[in-house]
Amino acid sequence: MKKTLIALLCLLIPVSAIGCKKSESITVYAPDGAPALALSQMMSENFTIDGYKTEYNVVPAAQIKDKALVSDLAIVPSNMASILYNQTNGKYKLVSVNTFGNLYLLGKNGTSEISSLADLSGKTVYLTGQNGAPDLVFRHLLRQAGVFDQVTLVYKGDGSEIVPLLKNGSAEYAVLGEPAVSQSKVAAQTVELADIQALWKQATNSSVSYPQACLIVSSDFAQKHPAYVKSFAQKLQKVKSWLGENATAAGATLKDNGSLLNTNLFNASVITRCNIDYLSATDAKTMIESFFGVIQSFNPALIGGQLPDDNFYYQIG
Amino acid sequence: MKKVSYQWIYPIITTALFFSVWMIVTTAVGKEYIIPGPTATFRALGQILKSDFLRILLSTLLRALIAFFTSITLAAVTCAISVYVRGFHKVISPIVTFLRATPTMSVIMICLIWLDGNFAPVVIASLVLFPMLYAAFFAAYQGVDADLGELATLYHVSPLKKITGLYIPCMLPSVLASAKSNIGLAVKLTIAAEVMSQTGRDLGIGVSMQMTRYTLNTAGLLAWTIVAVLLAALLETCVFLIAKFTVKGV
Repeated sequence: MKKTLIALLCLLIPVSAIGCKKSESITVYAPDGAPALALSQMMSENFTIDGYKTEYNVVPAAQIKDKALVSDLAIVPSNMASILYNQTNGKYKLVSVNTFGNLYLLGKNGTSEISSLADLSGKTVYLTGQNGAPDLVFRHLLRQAGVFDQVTLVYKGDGSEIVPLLKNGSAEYAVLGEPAVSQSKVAAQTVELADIQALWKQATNSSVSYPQACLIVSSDFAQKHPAYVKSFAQKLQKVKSWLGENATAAGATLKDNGSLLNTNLFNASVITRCNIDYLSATDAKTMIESFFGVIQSFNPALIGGQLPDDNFYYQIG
Repeated sequence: MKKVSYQWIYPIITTALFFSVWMIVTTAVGKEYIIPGPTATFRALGQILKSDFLRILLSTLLRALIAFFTSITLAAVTCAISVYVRGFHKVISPIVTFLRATPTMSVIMICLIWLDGNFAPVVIASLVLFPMLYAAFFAAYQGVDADLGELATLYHVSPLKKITGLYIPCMLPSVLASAKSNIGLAVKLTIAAEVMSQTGRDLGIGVSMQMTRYTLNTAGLLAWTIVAVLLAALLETCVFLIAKFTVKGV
């Protein structure tokens, strides 16, 4: 009898928790690293609008795809936005592009000067995340320089695994994202050989860089709460100027929301080099399609099989 | 009257049960990218077979086989030393116990710091297999009737004859039984290491699995799983057949 009672009470706990829910609870995810900076102002001000409770989470980059599937809004690499859209038949849409590249080519001080990417022929370059945006961007640049097959690429999980290799000399070249770039300049005395964003503009003959990370929204959520998505997007438009003045707060707030990075590295100049900005999905369409076209030429599966159709681009109403 | 055997019915029931549960779950969840149905999975399997399938399969097979034969050779040699050199077993057993107790995941992660992704799976699988195979070899040696060994010594049987005529035949059944289960494990370990190691431009089932995960191609992931299970089953059958034709009663 007593046991039955306890069992019943246990069942009641989750039920009562659901019963207590007053305001709509919204879950937002961002991958640990520079792209999460796009949400830093909202995190630090605990941004939400009336009637909603917003929860911000910074998770390890490798988990972001799984978390995006249970989120209302999420920052994800732009090709992952396309994968999610294509594989779920449109359950996720693109709201805006928020990171325009934070990648730099580094070399060992003194021994590794190059005048162009073609000089990397026969060399080994370390980079993070096979098939991630940094990898695809760099592979395209190598291909444009005509040395794709002559450069050995070695992949590591993240920048913190590569900096020690640069330091002890087992790695000579690396493509890293900020803040790992600045960290390795101090910790491993590396020199910056190239700004990948500038190389991309050169190679693609365009005035804009590539869309590295973006904000997606669950279609169901957007349909039910268009006003929320609108004010969220409006807030994101101002983040660039906020970051300029609140660099220290930006780093600290990422840490508060789950970042495992040494967020002290985010000072004003490093944050500028992360190229956080805002471009609405509709305005970014050309840029997105040309970037996806490049990815498609490597492997269509990396954008979920095909270029996403017009419904992918969420129109802020 | 001969009793009619209905044994054949059980696999059919199992298969039917398996597929109906699968389809029910797929329909209930309603999201093919989370739980793809049998149709989507077999379609994905078809696509895999059309791609660079053979080279991917052979890359993993090669890594698994190199790992398996390296560790089995190492285990045989170490066991032989243990038999001939007094005390060697006592020296080596703590190391073997230590290796056996190490979580596979930490072996994988440690090796990936030191080695490049193409070669690391081989080393990882060898390191995990070696202690198990050594233990199997040594247990098999201890299982040989000590009196027979003494008898052979008494009758001045040459050492070589003793090995080929007594120890090998007596040890073979249990060694092969352990080899059978470990060769399947070699495939599983290789794949796990390939998933973790981002083998760059190299191929492998684990690399392909990682790719399907990355692109939310869950049907493809299940399809590669079927391939991996079949590969392990095939290798185990090979060892089983070798055992069947070399020794009786395995």
